[in-house]
Amino acid sequence: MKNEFKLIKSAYQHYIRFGSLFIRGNMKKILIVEDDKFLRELIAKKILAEGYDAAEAKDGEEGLKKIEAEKPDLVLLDLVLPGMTGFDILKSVQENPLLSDIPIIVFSNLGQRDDVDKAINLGAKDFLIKAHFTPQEIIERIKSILK
Amino acid sequence: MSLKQVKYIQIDDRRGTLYSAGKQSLLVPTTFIRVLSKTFIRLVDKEGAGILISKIGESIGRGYAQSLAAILKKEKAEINKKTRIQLGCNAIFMEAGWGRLKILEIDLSQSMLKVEIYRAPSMEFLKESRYNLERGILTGVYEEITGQQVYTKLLKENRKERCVVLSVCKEIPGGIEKKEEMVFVTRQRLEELVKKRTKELEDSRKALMNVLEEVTKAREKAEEEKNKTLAVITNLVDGLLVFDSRDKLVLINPQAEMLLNIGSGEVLNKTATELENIAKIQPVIILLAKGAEKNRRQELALQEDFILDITIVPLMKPAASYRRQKGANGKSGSLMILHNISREKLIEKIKSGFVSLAAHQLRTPLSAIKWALRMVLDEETGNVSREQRELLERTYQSNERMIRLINDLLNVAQIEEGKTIINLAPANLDEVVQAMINSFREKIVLKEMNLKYHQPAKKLPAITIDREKIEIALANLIDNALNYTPNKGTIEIFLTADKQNVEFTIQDNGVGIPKNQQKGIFSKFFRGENVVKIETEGTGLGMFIAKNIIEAHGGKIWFESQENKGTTFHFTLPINK
Repeated sequence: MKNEFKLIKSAYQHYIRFGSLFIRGNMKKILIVEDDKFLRELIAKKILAEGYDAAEAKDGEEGLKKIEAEKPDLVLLDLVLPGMTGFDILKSVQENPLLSDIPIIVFSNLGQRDDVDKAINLGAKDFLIKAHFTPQEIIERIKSILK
Repeated sequence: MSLKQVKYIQIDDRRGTLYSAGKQSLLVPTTFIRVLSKTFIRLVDKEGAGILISKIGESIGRGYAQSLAAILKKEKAEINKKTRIQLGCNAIFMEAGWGRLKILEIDLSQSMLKVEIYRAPSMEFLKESRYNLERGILTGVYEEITGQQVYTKLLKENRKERCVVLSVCKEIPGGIEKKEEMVFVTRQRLEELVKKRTKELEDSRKALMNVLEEVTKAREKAEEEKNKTLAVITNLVDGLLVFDSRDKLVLINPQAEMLLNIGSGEVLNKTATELENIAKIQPVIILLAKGAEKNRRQELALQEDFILDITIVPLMKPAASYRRQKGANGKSGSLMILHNISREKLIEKIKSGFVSLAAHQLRTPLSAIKWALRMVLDEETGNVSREQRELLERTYQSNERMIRLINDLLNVAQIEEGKTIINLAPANLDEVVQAMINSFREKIVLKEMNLKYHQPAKKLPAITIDREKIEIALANLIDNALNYTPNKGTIEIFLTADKQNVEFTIQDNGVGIPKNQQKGIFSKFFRGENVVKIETEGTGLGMFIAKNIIEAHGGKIWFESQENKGTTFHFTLPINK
């Protein structure tokens, strides 16, 4: 039963990914790097509903790997992550000329001026405090950057 | 026996007449006899000094009186030439104090008597005496005198002092050359005098001892003060360096030696310039060179986790001595206090980290609730009934309140860390105010508020502010006006400027602040009693934060309010900063 569900889910995702490819052609991919599973799922759901492709990473290492492997069009990046932090990822991306063009929106619950400055200096395009934005507002920020 | 039997009364000096009872008169030019009382006769010279001839009736009896009168009478023709009267009777006594002299001869012309010290039961003769009657001081050699025969002249009788002063000579060589002065004084009197003198000596000794003692005490006190000061300096938890007027290090306490990891021998009595060459103390000494007249405070990180708070205090001479030395700047040295704040800094860092973490940990689940609710409310997951929507909307608002509370707590934490202003940049306040009003547009429409913004007449000069913080202050003020004014109320916002300040005013016709609570409005967690009843929202931190932000910018914030009439808040920000 569980496997069946997994299969269906996978098929659905493939449908979304490839189906949309056929339907809309070049679908923009957004990578969500967020350790909180529920938050990750909520925002992924919203992003998919808005017609983007969504990729997910649950920690820093996975996030960086996926940035390198999947070359997303935009990254929503949490800062406080197990292991490699969001700042580490920003730094790695900034230092890698192959990746440095990928826009990153920092998406965190830290919000002190020091953190914001540090993130912007490391190349973040925007800094959103999660609790201050609704999913719709986050989508609007994404849209304005991907325009 | 009565005096009348004495037969004579007085010799009148001016008239030179001695009146006696027998109407005899005798010329006695310099001495006269005065009847003192019934039983005493006194021989007096012209200065008034005299000798008592005592107890006429008893001691010398009628015989003496008569014979004296007879002698005087007999010798009256010769009295001018022959001045010595040989008394035919040896029973004339003179009382000096309580002693007795037997008068052997009276030389009236010279006022001389030859006397024998007849009885001096408790008396001594003071030879070569100097008796200072005024001061009551008696000096001389004491000698047993009973039985001596001396010639004496009446000098003075001091009844008060109970003694008689006589001049004494062993014989009369035709003249009255004074050889000695003799004082008769009683033993008792002598004892008194000696006691008095001893007491005086004792007193002066005591006075001297007191002076000595006081000097010793003063010295001890000074010593004690010095020790006290030294003990304070030595045991001070802070490091202390004292420099003299030429910046020479004159004192370093053990704590300072420890903090700088340096021995006093290495640095003491060296000038600042010399000390700058010593690596361990150099970063501290450099601060001294910046020379200021006022106290200065500075943090200095000697190592990464070893931070000193250094206060430099110029030691000024007292104003009086300063005025005397014209041209001198009055500085007599500098004091440098080293306070180790490594621990405080560490705690600050930990606290800051904690606040960050707490904010993160609290915000994450709140974000999840917010997003999920929003998505449900936006019907992204299917239709929501009216009843469900109402419930979920209220849940969403509660969650928003929680998020705001966390923001406020973070702001308070920053204020308390002293980080109120972080990012200063020039900004146009008009623009900031507009933007803040716009961010409340939804709420204004919802509450059907009549909000008017009176823009400044002229373009405002740009002022230097931390825009994010000023926005927080503005948001708190606007939000309060909206929250605490009933629907369809009026809010007016003014922005004006004079040469020094920009002034922001927000006026509402809302519930106001009760008079008795107006004092507490800017304190932490303050909420008006009337407001708590109508509006459960609000953290009670808004005005505390706003005040701190405005004041950190060098501005002022104040208000006027009347319950049920409305409230007006003002704040100013300085232009040239």
